[in-house]
Amino acid sequence: MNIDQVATHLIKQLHNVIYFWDVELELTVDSSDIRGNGDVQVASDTNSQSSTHQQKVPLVTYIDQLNDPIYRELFLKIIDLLTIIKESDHFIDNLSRGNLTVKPPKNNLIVSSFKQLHANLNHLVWQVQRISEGDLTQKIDFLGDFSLYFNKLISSLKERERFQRELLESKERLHQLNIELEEANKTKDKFISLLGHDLRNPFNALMGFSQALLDNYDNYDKEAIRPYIEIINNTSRKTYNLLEELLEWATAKEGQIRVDFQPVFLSVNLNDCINLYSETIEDKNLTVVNKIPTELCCYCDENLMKTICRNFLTNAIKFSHPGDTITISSKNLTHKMAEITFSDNGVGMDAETLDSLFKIDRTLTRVGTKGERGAGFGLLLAKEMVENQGGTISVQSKEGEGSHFSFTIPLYDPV
Amino acid sequence: MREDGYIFKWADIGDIEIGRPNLGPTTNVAVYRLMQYTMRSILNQKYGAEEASQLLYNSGYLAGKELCKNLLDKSLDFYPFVSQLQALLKDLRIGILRIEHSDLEKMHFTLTVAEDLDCSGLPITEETVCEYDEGFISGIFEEYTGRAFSVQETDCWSSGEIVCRFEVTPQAE
Repeated sequence: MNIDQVATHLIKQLHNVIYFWDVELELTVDSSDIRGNGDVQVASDTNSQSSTHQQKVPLVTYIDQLNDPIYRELFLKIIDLLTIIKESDHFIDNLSRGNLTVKPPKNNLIVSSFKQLHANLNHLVWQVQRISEGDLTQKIDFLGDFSLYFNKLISSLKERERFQRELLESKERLHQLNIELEEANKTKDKFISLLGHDLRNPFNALMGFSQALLDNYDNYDKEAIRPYIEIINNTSRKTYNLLEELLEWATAKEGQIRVDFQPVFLSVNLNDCINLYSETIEDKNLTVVNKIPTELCCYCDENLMKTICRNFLTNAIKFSHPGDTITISSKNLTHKMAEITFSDNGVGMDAETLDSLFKIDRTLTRVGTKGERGAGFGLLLAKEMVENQGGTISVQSKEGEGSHFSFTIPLYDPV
Repeated sequence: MREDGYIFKWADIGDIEIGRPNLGPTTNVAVYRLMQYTMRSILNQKYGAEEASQLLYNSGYLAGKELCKNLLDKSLDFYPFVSQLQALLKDLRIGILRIEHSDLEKMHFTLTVAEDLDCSGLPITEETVCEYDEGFISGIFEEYTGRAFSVQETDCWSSGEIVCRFEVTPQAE
């Protein structure tokens, strides 16, 4: 093949690249045209015979055989250019089909921009993977309008996630409110139940005995009248106390208790409380031991503390056997909180009673060891008051062995 | 700094705000490359190409460790840490870091850096030249994870590839 023939073939390939994006850098020749030294004889040469065996021979082989070095170099450079174009086509074609696993051709500046695009798209794939795993902090900044709308999409996903989170929080709040509403309803039901029973019943005795007095006043002497008056007086007092407790408890539930924090020497308060119930204590032959250190100073509301202690003490008195001992003790939990415990070795509580102790809808009215009755409000009231002052209540009890009622209270810190 | 065995620490950078109240903290990339490539040239002549490459890698490693210690929050999880690193490198005009592949189990990563400070715009010599960056990335990863990493640049602007591509793999323990 001479220069003209090689040039003609190359022109044809350049035409194919421009118009068909197709390059053929090999020629199909008869095997008989290939000489022993690797040179190729073109079919137009003389003395060649056609053969049915054909093979592809690189065009470079023909070019290498040219005598003129300048043309040889020119044609080889054209071959290089056509080779680069061919591999560029392969790369761009794969890229256009979304095949990012294709390796960018090395040492190929023609596809530089496509290599940049290829790297950007690989990074974009990585970012989308992160987003699919929940990482909504990804942003892109290298693909023009696509970046703008992609980032908007991420923003809307973030917005949706935030909305769902808030919706979940609202549902939880609603659920909590439902629980509180249920609790309030139980309180109301209990209140009405007590009004209907424990407050009304004493009036039967009041009306009955006062009516009997009225009916027989002229016939009774002083000694006969006295028991009636005592019964009316005692019943009135008990009913009044119950009413007071009920109102205090209702106030506590409304969150309307006014807490007036001040330093309070608890031991002194307790002694007052014990003295208040000295008659009942003596009547049951009980021993009440106040082990609270005289120097123990709490930071609390004095009136609320009196009510709390009164309730725990009366509870312990009610369920102690005649001759039992009630002990009131304290311990410092931390330098800021103390725990006060009322311990008795009375009837104690079974598991069911213990479980229902502070539950408004399950409060069981229990009769004391000497037939003492109560509406079960005292402990509920004490719990509200302790909690309003930043403390907590706990109970340990065993049936037949007695109970330990404890509550925590802040200690007074002069600083 | 002039003593034998001098070991760089971040504070050696000094307070540029005090030192350059008029010229400010930035300069031209050409100035940076002037320093790097003249130093590379001298190191090459004195110690040979291989040794010079290793010295540049080691310098980059030291720089990466100190940068991570002083400018990056190592308490972040991996992906937020990468976001932080991307923002920092862009902010410091070192390059635009992207992730092509990450395998947290095998701790194998493929990173690309576009508009790399060291090589973007260099003449095409068909060779990779970012040994300093290799060490830099290795230092950052080691400081963050506590494990040693090997970093190999597989593509570079200088080799005709437009973006620099680095393969990051843990060193055998």
